[in-house]
Amino acid sequence: MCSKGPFLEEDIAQTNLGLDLLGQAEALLTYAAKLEDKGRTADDLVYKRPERDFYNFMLTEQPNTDFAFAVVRQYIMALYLDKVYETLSKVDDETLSGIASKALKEIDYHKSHLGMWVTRLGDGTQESHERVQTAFNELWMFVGELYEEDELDLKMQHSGYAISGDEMKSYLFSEISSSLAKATLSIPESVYMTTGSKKGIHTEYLGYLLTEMQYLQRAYPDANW
Amino acid sequence: MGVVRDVLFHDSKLEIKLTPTYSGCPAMDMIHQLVEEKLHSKGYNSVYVTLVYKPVWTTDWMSDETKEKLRRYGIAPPIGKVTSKKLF
Repeated sequence: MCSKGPFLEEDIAQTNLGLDLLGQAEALLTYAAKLEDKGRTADDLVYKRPERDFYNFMLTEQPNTDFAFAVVRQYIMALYLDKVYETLSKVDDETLSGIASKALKEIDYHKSHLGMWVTRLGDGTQESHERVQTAFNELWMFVGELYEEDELDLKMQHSGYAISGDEMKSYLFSEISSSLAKATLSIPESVYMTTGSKKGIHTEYLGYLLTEMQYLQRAYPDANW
Repeated sequence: MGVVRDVLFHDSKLEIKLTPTYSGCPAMDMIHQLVEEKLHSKGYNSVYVTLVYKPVWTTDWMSDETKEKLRRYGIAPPIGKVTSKKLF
């Protein structure tokens, strides 16, 4: 996830946050493949889908420019996921509520660990302050997608599987403003918010990530060992 | 560790329910395999393992013996009981 941490232990900590996310993704994709019932596995979904079939937020594919970027990107995602998993932990679907309850415990920790770094960098040296402010400013345009709604979102809200875009927006803004205030940072100015990942539109960075992740499968289809 | 949550007999089949300590635990496949191998070697041929997430694993389920083994290995075991959902 990073390898730009200020000390080795923090890089290891961030790698472990990454491992949590990997585990959550595997559990969710395994269940998605089962529900789809077309004989695909979680691995098929990961290694064989082209870029346009990935619906991840553009925020998640932004590069680890420096430590501040990695912290801010993951901090915002932790806030978002905390709300998503909290909602899913209460649904009737037992598999989904099980995965979400487990993930919630992990994401709660991400939120507090990364939030601590936002404060520490913002309220640290002039250099760290500037860098974390830059990261918030640069990544801000990707936040709008987190509370955007399409038809599927509305359907999910209707059956209690998601909160409304308005609720998500006010939750994110109130969490972010209070942590920015604590870190002596300013809320980025209103910018144009990107849109499109729910339709499979991405920034150029996803292509590079998929190229590396899918290389083996593309070069040696269905390789086994 | 408290990772084995249940053992159920379904007619001639044996079901073992396992829960991961954390979502990304890379040892889960290995544990799964070892459980099956062990049971096969004891003569249980029809065995399957299911993964469960709820209730969510907590260090409260670790036995004193496990904690002692961790301590001897050089890992500080958790002390007391978990009171907040934020702690593991």
